[in-house]
Amino acid sequence: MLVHARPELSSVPISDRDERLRLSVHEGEQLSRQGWLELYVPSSRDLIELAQSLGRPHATRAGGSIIDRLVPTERQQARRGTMSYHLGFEEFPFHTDGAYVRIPPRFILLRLADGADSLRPTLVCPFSSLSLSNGESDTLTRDVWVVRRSRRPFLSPILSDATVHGHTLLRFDLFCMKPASSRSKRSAQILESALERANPVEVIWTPNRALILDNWRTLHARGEGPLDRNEGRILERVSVQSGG
Amino acid sequence: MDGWTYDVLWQKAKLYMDRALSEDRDGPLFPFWAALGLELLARATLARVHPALLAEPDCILMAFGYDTGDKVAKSVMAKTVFLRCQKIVPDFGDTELKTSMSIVERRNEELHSGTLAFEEFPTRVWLSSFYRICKLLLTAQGQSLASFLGKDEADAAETMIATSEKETLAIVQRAIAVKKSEFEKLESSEQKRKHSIAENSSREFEEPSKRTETCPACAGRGVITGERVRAGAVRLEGDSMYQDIAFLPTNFRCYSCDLELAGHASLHAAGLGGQYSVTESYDPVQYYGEMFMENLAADAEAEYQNE
Repeated sequence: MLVHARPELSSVPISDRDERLRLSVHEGEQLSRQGWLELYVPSSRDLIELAQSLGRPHATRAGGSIIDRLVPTERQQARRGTMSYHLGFEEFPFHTDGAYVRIPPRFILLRLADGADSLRPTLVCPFSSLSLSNGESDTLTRDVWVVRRSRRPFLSPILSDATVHGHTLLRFDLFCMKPASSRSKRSAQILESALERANPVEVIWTPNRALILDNWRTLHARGEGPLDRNEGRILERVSVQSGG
Repeated sequence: MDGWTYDVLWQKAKLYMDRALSEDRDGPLFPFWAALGLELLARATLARVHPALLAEPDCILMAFGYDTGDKVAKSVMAKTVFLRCQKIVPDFGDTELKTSMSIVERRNEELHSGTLAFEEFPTRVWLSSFYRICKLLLTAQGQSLASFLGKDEADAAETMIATSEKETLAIVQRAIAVKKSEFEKLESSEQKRKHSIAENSSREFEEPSKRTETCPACAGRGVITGERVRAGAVRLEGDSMYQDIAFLPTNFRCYSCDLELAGHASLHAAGLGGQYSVTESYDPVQYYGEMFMENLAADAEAEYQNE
């Protein structure tokens, strides 16, 4: 079952606020409480300034721009190793962004680019909403996975409390992670089964709509859309590192 | 140097234990992977304190994240790792050091010789001690057997540890009962004489870690000795300097009934296992005088090496 996001929760355009470049106290609390936040951001420049207020925005590729432009791409044209390379125009499964780096970005900001249009929603699923038992969470913390796609592969559990002091960090992307041993397959089964039962929030993309994800504790996915074409969807993405 | 950070060592220790636990418990690969896992767990314990504890002296800068141009980060030997654990991990005594090193040496034999070192190495010989050592290392880094082995194996490991402790307890209780019985058969006057001798002997016995205790068999005066765990700060009180030294009790001897217990586990079973402190006192002139002489000697050595 999908839960539709309620735009009225954060309907004041960020440019119209007194404190133009920051979240309001209420929005900050909301992001902190639920692990994601939907809001209106009128321009790319505002998106970057908002990102700066949350931490340190950074490019996801060496020499790349701070803003990535994410466009549905058919398999043959996609860069090797990306989700598009494997899935083309299909849905993307639940994942966290930047799972292949040791400390993935804390926040992911997404915004529908000016002039773009999208029929594909983004699905948001905070980890806390999965209602896992203590035993299941312990297994996700214990089981070890190999993380590839970087120059030096490394080991990590899905839930790590040893990577960033004082934080439990969620890392999940089946296109760059695989169980390091046969025992670790349990954790994949636990999470996939929980995601099947989950009630994700569906974010419908409309002009100037933006989404902030706490990437250390919230999964997201690309919903269904046309399988034969890109309907004109371009999402802007900014990755932000922040320890707070 | 990423390879010395706590997180990566901890994850790799778990992975190697997974590999061990996926093997036949009676086969050679179970202890082989477990031995590798133990060493990584010990290294993780040191990394939790600071990665520099894992670096060879000429690689210290790398442990602090500086690029020294060296391609290979040289890690300290396993023996150094376990010797350092002995200073850092509570209750990790000589017995644990010896057991750990015997496992590591067997691993070396397997890797560097033609011998099949793990072929005749049944779990009854090592697994219970192995899990007990793991538990000590895990506790020191804020982890548990469950977070290392998974819940099911951890439950089995706890049972093995408890059984082993029960066996030790039974042996110790038997030894105490035998000495108690022998002592009670003595005439009252002889008992008094032996207690009196024990009072003097224990007083005259000199050893930095000495602590006198009542014997659990005959209630006479016995002496505990132990391994130095750590030393507190030196403080000046009046005209003297004092320092508290913490010890792990590892031996007990009663001068009345001749009860002797060896190893921390045995002392723990006899109710004598708690760590204790001994306060050393120093004459300030002597204390600083020795430091001064040591510095002089160090300077002379440095100068000599410069030539």
